[in-house]
Amino acid sequence: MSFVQLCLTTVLAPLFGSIVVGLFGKWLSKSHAHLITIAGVGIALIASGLVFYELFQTEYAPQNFSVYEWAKIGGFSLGVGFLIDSLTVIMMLVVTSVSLMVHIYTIGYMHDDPGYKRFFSYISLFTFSMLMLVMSNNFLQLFFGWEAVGLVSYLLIGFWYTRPSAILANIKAFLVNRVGDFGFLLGIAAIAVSTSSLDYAQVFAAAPSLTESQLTITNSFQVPLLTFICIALFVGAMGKSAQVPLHVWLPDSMEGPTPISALIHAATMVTAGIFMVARMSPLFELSETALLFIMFVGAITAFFMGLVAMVQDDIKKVVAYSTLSQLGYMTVALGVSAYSLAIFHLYTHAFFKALLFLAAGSVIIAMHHEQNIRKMGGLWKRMPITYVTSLIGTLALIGFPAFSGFFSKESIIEAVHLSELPGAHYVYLMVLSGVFITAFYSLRLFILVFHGKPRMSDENYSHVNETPKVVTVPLIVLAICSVFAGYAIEPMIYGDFFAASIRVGEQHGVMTKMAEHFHGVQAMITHGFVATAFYLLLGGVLLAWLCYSLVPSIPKLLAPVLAIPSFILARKYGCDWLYIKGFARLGVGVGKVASALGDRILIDGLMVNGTASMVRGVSMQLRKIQSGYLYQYAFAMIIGLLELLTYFYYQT
Amino acid sequence: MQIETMIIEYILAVPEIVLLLGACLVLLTGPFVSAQSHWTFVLTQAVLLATLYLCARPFTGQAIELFNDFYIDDDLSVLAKSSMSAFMMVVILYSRGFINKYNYPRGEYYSLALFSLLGMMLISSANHLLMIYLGLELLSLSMYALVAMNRDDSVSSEAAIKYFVLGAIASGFLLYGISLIYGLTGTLFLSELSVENEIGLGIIAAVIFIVIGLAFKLGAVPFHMWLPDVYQGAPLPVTLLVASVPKIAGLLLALRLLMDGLQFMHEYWQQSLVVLALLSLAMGNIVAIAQTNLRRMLGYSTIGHVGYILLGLLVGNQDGYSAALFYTLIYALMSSAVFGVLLCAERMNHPLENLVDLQGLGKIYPWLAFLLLLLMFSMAGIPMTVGFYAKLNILQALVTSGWIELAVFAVVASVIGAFYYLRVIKLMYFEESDTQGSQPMPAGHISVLSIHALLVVGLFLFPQMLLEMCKQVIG
Repeated sequence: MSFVQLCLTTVLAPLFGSIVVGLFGKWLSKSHAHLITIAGVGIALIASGLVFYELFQTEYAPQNFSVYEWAKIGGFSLGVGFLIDSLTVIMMLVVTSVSLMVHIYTIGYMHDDPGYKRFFSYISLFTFSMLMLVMSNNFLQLFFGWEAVGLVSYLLIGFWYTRPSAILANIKAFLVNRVGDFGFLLGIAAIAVSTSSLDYAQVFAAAPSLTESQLTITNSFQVPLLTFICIALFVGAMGKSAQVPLHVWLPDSMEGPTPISALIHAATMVTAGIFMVARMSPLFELSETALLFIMFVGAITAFFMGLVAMVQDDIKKVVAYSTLSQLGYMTVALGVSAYSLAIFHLYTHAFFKALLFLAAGSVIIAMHHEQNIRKMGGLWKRMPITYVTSLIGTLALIGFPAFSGFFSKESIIEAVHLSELPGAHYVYLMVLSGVFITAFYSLRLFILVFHGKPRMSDENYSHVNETPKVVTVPLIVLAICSVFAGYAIEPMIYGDFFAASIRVGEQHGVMTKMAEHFHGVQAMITHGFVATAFYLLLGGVLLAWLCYSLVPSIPKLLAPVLAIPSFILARKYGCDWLYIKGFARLGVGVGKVASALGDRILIDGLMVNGTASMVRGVSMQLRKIQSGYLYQYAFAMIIGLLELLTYFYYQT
Repeated sequence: MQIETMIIEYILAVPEIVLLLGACLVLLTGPFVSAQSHWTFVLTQAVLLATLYLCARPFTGQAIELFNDFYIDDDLSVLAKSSMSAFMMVVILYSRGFINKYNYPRGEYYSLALFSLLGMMLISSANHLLMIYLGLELLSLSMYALVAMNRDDSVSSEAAIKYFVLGAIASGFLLYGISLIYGLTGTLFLSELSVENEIGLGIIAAVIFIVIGLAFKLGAVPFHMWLPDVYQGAPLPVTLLVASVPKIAGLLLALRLLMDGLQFMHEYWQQSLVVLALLSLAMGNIVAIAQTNLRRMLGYSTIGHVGYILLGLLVGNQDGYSAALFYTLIYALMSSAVFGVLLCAERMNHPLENLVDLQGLGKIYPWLAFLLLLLMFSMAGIPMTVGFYAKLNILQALVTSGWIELAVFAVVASVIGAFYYLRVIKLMYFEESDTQGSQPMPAGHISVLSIHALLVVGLFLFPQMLLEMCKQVIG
């Protein structure tokens, strides 16, 4: 099979599964439905593996080819094409492997759901869309994938469409993403206008010549073109990757089924923004302002969202806020031009966060869809596999040395430390204290769920059992990945893996400096045990242990002291309040006025119905001409003749 | 040499000869077979099939003049004659059930239809003004008789007498125009018409008389008065006939007269056509809204479509003529299908006489309603149906030759027109009715009708061939 066919297979196999199950599901049994979609994603995974192998053979030389030209407008070509390089292939592997695990897991999780087949169709469709997004070689296809994953995300958040909360959450996700997509579209439009191309290769080649260009917004107001493009594109990324202030939809998206939270809202779709910025590194490298903006947005998200996670009681919400915080870390890495580290963290995070979500799902199944961690406890005895895999996931998340999260997060912190961007030392403090916060909320969650005395009736506790194999096997596979994924750091970050796909400017030499300090994995782990971050981590772990296991009365004692911070955190800084009571209500108000005045009175009343009734009136009058009398008809003909004759008589 | 030429001439005229003999044969057969016999129908269709077979030939790009140059055989006439024969076959097929049901004299309907077709074919191939007049009279007389076929029905007779009297006046105008032309130019051969000196009032008057004769046949405002009355009053199969095939003949009449004969007077007839087109577009579409009778509404809709055809004609170049030809063919297709639907419903004892009869048709006869929906979309010119291309072509021809205002007017008129087409759909699908659809659909009728109506979608998807043909036949 040729390389092109291999890429097409990767993309089309999940689409085929999705279409078959989605359209012809009526005639398929449940097991056929999941077998077909799993086969589709399985094929995609194998094909991605082969693509990786082919690429490995050619030492990661990028493959750029066009598959189909959709339309050509002047010299402006719109089409479908693939750009396959190390960046793409790592995303392809992450997407297909996590997707496969989630497909298998779903068999257990959605077992009794009436929307079983619909669910499989959606997640396969998602896999297709995400692959289209990452494999694209042009902005149009990128945008297609971008919107398609957004659509599937919308459909899946509202999967249980009879629940009002699910409907609210999916509308929220959709609207907030619209804000981001608007920026994204503006960025693409600016690119199209300034380079008259949407092809990555052509745009990147043209970019260096645009550094001096200005974009005129009004006559007196100009902005540097590249900064505008980069920030506009990044606004898109903020929506998709849930960065402050467009983060509000992600916690609510937990209304969707848990496998979705793992696949879309932790491992893959939300990282599309990170991927996109890394893919556009040749553009972002040219705008200092944009990078600075990205770094601060990331740091704010990483730090403040971590804080919120400390007070959440819903098992999925905790993991969701943790996801926000980790996405912040990735964004920070982008900001300091450590794109490869952002992608590396994305890659390790995909495994351990999917693991944590699926483990949370496993707990939820066992607890019969109870999600409040205050009502759990002591589950380690009843669910040993979930317990052990969760422990691994937690250790990876908090960055315990030798686990995968350690390699990526520790490196990001170090990269920020070495960065020379203005304000980088503040950001360094934020990401460093983030380690403490992460350790605290992760352990808090872990202890409340698995340790201590069961906070439920004995009868309920005796009903809690380990989940079936289709659930535990993906957990085990992901746990293995979460342990070992980090060891790829040496070839991936310090080899020349990303050399051809990520471009870093001379002035942003963070990664070169990092490479000087790197002396192998072994040395890094050893150093990890003596680094500042490790002490912070231990501090967080110990504090959580102290508060929730050793002396459970501490939180209550401290409550009056921490009343104000916990008030703020419980309300998530008032973002929801501002958006719903402020923006949304304002929007509805403006809409109502416009509807009453413009639509009902002016357009419907005067213009539409007004003209309609006028035409009707004229019509009623004109029909009277048709009197039915023959002599009048003949008369009309004679009049017509005379009119024409006189007209021409006077003309000549 | 002489004999050879004669043989060639007669060979080229074989379709008309066959048709004439066939028409006589059908007329003669009528009295000799029983009232329930299918023979007249079978014979008629056989004659039409033979005519179609003999007419249809590949385009050569050549024009052969025969019978002392009275008659012309070119690609345009081939396209017109074959499409008219084909449409006539469909018309006869749709009409059969109705004719049988109400025991109309079969031989008369069929043979008159064939005679009218002969008249139309003569018009299509005419190269001489007298030839045109001859063909036109043959067509008109058959039509008058057909409209009056249901002698005992007063509405039908009233429509026929109006049609006849007004038609006579229009024929008078036409003939007067022709005589003026003869007096001024000394010839009646279309290809030889020209003026040596300055264009005087005489020739202008002649053109006006001819244009009015033409406008009457097409049904352009203010010479349209007969049209709604005939549509409503004539028996349904006759309305079907009047509303479809003669439109093609009417266009051919216009093309032969204006394009072949009076192209040198383009400047003058163009101005009259602008007036007629504007009036037809406005009147047809606006008055249709006020109608409660479905056939009458379709009559006014025809007037609106005639406005569009005139717009194509008045452009006066290849684009315009071919757009008008395309429009007319498509119009004949849609119109015959709509009346096919009406006849089908009538055969199932669910006559669609007034608009209220359409209520709930979507539930009673879903497939029939769906076909009517497609046809209404097509008549309104909504994409996914070929009616869109028909209108688009006319508008393109107008815009490229600078008639932007007319194009805008035409678009506004069709927006107004969309109202009553969509109202039909609304009545069918959004209104309730307690009638039950018990009758089975007549299989032959509905299957031909389905293919026929689905053509409006098919031709939207693949319009190229027909468009090319229309371009090609206009020299």
